[in-house]
Amino acid sequence: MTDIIAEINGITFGYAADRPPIFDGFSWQVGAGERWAIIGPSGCGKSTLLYLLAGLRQPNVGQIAVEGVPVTRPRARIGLILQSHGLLPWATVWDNVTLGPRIGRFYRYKQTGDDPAAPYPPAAIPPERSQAWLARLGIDALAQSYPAQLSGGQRQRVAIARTLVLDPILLLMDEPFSALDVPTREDLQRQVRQLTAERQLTTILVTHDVEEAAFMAEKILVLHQPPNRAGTIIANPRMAAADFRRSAAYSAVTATLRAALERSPTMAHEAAP
Amino acid sequence: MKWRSLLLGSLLLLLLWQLLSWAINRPIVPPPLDILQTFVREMRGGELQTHFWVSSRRVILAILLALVTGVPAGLALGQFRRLDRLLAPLIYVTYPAPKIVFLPIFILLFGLGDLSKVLIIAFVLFFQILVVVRDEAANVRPEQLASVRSLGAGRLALLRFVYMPATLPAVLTAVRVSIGTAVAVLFFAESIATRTGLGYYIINDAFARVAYKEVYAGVLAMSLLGLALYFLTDWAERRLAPWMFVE
Repeated sequence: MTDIIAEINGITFGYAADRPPIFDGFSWQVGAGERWAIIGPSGCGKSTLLYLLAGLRQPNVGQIAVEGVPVTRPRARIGLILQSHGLLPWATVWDNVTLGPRIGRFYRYKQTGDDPAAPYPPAAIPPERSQAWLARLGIDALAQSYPAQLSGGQRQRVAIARTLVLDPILLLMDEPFSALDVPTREDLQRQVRQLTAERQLTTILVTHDVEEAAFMAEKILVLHQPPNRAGTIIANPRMAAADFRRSAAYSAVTATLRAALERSPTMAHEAAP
Repeated sequence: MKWRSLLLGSLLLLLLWQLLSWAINRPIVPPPLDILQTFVREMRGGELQTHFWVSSRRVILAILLALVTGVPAGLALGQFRRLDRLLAPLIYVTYPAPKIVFLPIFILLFGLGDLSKVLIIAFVLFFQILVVVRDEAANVRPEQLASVRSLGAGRLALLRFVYMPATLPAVLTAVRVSIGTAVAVLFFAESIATRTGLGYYIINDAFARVAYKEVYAGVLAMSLLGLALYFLTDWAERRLAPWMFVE
């Protein structure tokens, strides 16, 4: 039995009172070290679920806890990587990657040690750690560049490095590779997959891409048109195998995912992404 | 490039002025070298130097005052939508009104000294800075805020790491655009009920004595004051906002 890292308990959430809620009595559990993907048609609430877990939105009813602590605001231990525009355009790559440590120093008088409930990053993260992540993601030569000078793939590497510098307990990713061209996307998918496996980092990846979900996640939560009361969970235990993309198991999982998405009632008349 | 433009522009101005002076050939348009000579003499030994520093102090204090009030007010309105909705109509109505007309009231309230002049200039600039900062702060991308909040930033850290750098270039642009206005308001404020400053020197001293060369020396001093502030803002922008200058 794995430990539970993130737990959603009977939440109801909607953006407006006069529209049906996105989630209605929804529950979900994420175990330590598990790699999840969330997939579903647009408007199904997959990004909303990520924002709820990140503490950027609060449910109307029910609780969300990460490491057993209710998520009432964003926390440095819960990492979030967005599709784009997350970097600070006025800061160099180095200043972006060391933003977490700088926020930690900014709040140095408020630190509460290793308390999982503390929202702030630790006050003393050595610059060597940021340097190591830059090198690991192959962007150390770009340290003095600004985001506007980088390619889309390089920017996402900066965003990933910036989040991992804070050593998160849970990594949330909202379509992080969608805006990239195919070779760059596949390269980054491989690298993130390897990184998260190495560190046994619990990850939740929101995507609209069936292949990406199958390649990146051992468990896949399929959401449907709101209100979501429960998602469909599809297991993908073979994803860690070498050369998985060319295996029969991969084809089977993508077929299952497609079938699950087609059961979603409004998919038929939904516009192409 | 910049220095070359400055040099070329100055030379061209001198040349055109000289031609104009020859063409008109009356004391009201003295030749540029005579003006420069008078300017140097007045700045070294005459009263112009004192007036120049008095005016510089007034306008710089006013810009600083407008910044320390306008920037926080703009940041607040840009972040708190409810406050903005409450005050936006008031700003909308008062923004186009020429604030300089309040000068007599400022003089009555704050006296004939530096205070009323600094305050009227700051009052004019305050609104320009406020509006620019408010709009810039309101336009910060939600993705930027979300990702910096997810790194653990609370409201103060967002102010420090997002809102301040996001609005800085706009603040400097607002200052640059406002310099002309500031010097114009300064000139007007100094031309009534005072005995110091470049406005006084030009209107009440030189012009009243029909000393044309001194009038032009004063005009030159005022232009140089504006130009110096302009360069100062450019310099500050390159120092404080280097990302605006990368390819």
